[in-house]
Amino acid sequence: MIGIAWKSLLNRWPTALLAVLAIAMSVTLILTVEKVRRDARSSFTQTVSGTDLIIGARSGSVQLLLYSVFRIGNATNNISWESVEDIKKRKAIDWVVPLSLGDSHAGFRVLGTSLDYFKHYTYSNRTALQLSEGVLFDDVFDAVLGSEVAAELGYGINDSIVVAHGTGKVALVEHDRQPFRVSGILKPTGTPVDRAIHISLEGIEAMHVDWQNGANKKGAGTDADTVRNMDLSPSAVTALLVGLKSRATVFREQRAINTYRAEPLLAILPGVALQELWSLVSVAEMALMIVSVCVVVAGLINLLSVLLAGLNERRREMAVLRSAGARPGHVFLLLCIESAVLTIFGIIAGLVLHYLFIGVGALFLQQRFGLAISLSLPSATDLKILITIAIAGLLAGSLPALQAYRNSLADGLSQRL
Amino acid sequence: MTKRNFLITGLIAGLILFTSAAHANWWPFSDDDADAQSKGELTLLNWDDLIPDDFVQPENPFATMSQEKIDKLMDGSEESEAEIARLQDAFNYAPVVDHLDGKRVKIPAYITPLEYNPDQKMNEFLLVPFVGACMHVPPPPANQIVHAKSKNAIEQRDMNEAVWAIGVIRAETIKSNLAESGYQLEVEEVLPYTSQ
Repeated sequence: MIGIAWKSLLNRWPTALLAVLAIAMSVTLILTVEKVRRDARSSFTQTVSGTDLIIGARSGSVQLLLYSVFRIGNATNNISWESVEDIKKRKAIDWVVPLSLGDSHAGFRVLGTSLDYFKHYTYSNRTALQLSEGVLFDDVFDAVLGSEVAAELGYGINDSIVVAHGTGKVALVEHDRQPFRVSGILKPTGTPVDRAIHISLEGIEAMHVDWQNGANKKGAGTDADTVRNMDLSPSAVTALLVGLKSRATVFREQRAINTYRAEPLLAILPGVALQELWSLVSVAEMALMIVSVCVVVAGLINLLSVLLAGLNERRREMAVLRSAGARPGHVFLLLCIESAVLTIFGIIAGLVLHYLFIGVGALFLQQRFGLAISLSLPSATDLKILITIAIAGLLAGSLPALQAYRNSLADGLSQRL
Repeated sequence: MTKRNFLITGLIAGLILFTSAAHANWWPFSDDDADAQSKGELTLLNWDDLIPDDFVQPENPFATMSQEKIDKLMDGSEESEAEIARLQDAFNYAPVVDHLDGKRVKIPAYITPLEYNPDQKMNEFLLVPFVGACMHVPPPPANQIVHAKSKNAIEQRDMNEAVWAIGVIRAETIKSNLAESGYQLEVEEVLPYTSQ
């Protein structure tokens, strides 16, 4: 029976192939949308772990979260070092990690921080950062590279790099008088850390020594040793990551910082800000999902139309089958099997296409947005979607099958074509 | 024909089995209730119950202070800073109800996420009596926050949705400078809120 259905389909392969393709495309779309949505979320959530509060200049909570941890967008202002010292003194606060952003190297962000960053910043269930080679920065002009920076630009230990002003892709104005030396390279993390160049806060000050009134001073510039001997204590940072002694005090500390008198500051709970972010993007996600579902429905309607349109042409085929001893029930079954075969092939082809897409697209997403999308087996939700499509395909097939069943009862061999 | 019928029945049965098997994975609450019942009596808690009956919330010291005194306190000297800290601590004093310690309780609450694991679920979060509205009034005192930890990761769809949190509560009175009194909850289960 399946053999007959298969041969019959082969006989009409162009239309069958188109029907399969339509289903395959819809399956690919819906799976890919679902996958990117889920992995983007988990990629974001994995980036913050173990941090109780993020502090920055007063702006929006989502914006602060995006620029401080995910390096998307820019800060509105800095936090003065006096405020940092004040916050450090609060007795509920366990540790403070300063972050200083705004410069870049070949399109990768430069992050000025202290050694505490490597001690306290954790990602994905409290995993600490680890070096794959070299050591943490020790000198003013030392830099620790994220794994991807090193891989993409082909840097090794002791290579020298020049940091550019601003965050543009091409360095038009470089801090080239004070080149940095690569002291260490971090292991891959699947977070924006991979795309950052870490230097000390003093390093950030050092490369701006010759930088006055928003432009580079003309001439040869100050040499590295003179800079080393200057007072390089930071005057401001962009954001702070804060850990508390007791997490239950988080609201009070947040309030204290939000009402800090000397400077307008904003403290956010990373988890709450993430929730806000999700509620913002969920509208777009929903829209994408609705479009995907519509495409699936279109694919199924296409399947239905292919089968229905074929019925008239296949009256003779049915008649021959009937004369060879097939009952009307067989004809019904035959068409059901046909639609099942088409749907299942469509789903398989869709899965293959989906994995191809993810395989190719993951690299782009990782490089462009630092989003880690991994190849993985279909999730429970994916299976649910696939099963729903399969059942819908079968149901769609039963309509023409019923029609064929009726025809074969009425027509017999005496039909006029 | 019987062979084919068999084939189709098999196919359909397979599909149903497959769906239900997949379904079992989607259904997070597969704990049997008998197990939970045996863990002890369940006390229904209100947020009021977490404040000792004889406790009177101290008044805001700044509300009754003369402007002169406030100005003097704000001069930034070390003395004044210490005085502010002392006043703040006195105002923040929020004792816990000791006899609740170790009880198995059920409390209606909102969840404030502290940290997510890679599956977007939480093992650690704060339970609070209200959500949002943080800007107009001071945050809840220490005895109106329950620090919850759960072995099974909890999924939260919407911060604005209340839940029933069930578990064993710990009331800790710590008289040290570093930590303060508060409640912890060892979470057994988090259920969607239904009015009872």
